[in-house]
Amino acid sequence: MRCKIALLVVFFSLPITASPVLAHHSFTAEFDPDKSFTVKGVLKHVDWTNPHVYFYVDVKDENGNVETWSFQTFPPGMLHRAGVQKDVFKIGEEVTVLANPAKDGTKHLGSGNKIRYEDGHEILLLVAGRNYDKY
Amino acid sequence: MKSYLMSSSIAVAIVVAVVSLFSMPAAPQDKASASKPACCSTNEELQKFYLDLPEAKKATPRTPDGHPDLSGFYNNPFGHSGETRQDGTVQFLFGGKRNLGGPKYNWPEPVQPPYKPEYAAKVEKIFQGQYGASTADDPQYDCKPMGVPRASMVPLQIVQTPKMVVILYESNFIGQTYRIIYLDGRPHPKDLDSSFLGDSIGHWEGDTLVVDVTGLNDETWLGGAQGHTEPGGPGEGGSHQIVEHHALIHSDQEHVMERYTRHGDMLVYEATVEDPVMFTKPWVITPRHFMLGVPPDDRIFESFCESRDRSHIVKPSEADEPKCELGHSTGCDRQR
Repeated sequence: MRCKIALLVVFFSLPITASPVLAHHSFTAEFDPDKSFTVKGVLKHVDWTNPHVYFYVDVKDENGNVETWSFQTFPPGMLHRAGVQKDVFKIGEEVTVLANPAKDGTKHLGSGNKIRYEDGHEILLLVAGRNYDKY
Repeated sequence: MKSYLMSSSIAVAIVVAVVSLFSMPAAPQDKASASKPACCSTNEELQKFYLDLPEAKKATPRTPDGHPDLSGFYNNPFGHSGETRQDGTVQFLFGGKRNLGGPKYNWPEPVQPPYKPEYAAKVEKIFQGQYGASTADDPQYDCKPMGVPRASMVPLQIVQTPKMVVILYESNFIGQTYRIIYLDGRPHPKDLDSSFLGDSIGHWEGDTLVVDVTGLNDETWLGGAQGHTEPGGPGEGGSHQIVEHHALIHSDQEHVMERYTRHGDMLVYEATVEDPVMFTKPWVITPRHFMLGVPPDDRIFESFCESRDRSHIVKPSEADEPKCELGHSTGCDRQR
């Protein structure tokens, strides 16, 4: 049930800070930088495509039903040139994803900011000047 | 235009306010100039700023026929950073190469196209529907080539021969495409079908490649709000985007004269756009600056584009609070 999946989703508001939300073309028109949520699941697939890389996480609810969450992030060229390559997304691994929700209310969609693997290492996809203290 | 002027004024006021709130201290090595902006209130100052950079002072390579060699991979030197930590954590920081502790910058306001009143009204209507810098009306979300001069943003690869210059574009939105600029003296074809990037013929005027572009369709925008990146930004010493937020529609009578000039490792891109249907006079864009070899030995990537954004882009509503998005010199009153 969707509402039970929601139990896995923790929404909280980020502090309203002086930090600018730097432009990533359509980011603030699609996602709410002042809200975030986390989900835990299995990293299923990565689309290494323009204009945005997408990665997908299969999330199980209490009844064992699996729903796939989609997460948008930066373009592949930007990521690769900064040393974040496709193979850091380890398919099949259990991950916890922290993301901003879609403003249009689309379920199971977010802008992925942090991916934490079970061993503790992370993929951090951040914007300079933004405050991630509460993440 | 009144509302545009008003929104521009508000934008400037907000930028000034935000700059004063969030200005970072000047870099230690630049204490003497800490009290005044490092640059640039006019396009001329912007140009001087770039041409004074060490990269622009390098020797400009030349081809055997004596012309500047524009060949190379160009990108934005003031973009993003990344790091890999010992535990395997990788971090991408959008805008991470901005000098957040550096001196303040002012930037010239982008020059907006001189639309005739009936088209200015259309543009204003589109602009009012933008959320921040975005609107689902923007043809960039089609993932088709973005027209001229909008497509002329980095990363791009230039291949030069005596008879043609080829520009290969890598772009988030336009995907993977190219232009051929013929230098062999041929005219534009008489049977030209309009297209997204038109037909380009070029010649050298001194050390500048001058390109005549025609045969452009009316399915692209001139600049939209995407803008392009320049170093530094109001109060953040960071990246600045030239956002020509009223540079939107054009007719299929658009005609562009481009000027490509290499200074050392820097490529200066200038363009003058004519549109006898929509403009009262030619529109001269704010010059753009691209840097060779950023990072060194880089190469162009495959960049096919898959459109998935448009359906999620929201419109501004009454409940939204105005919010300034730094990194844009204008239009921050539209950020809600």
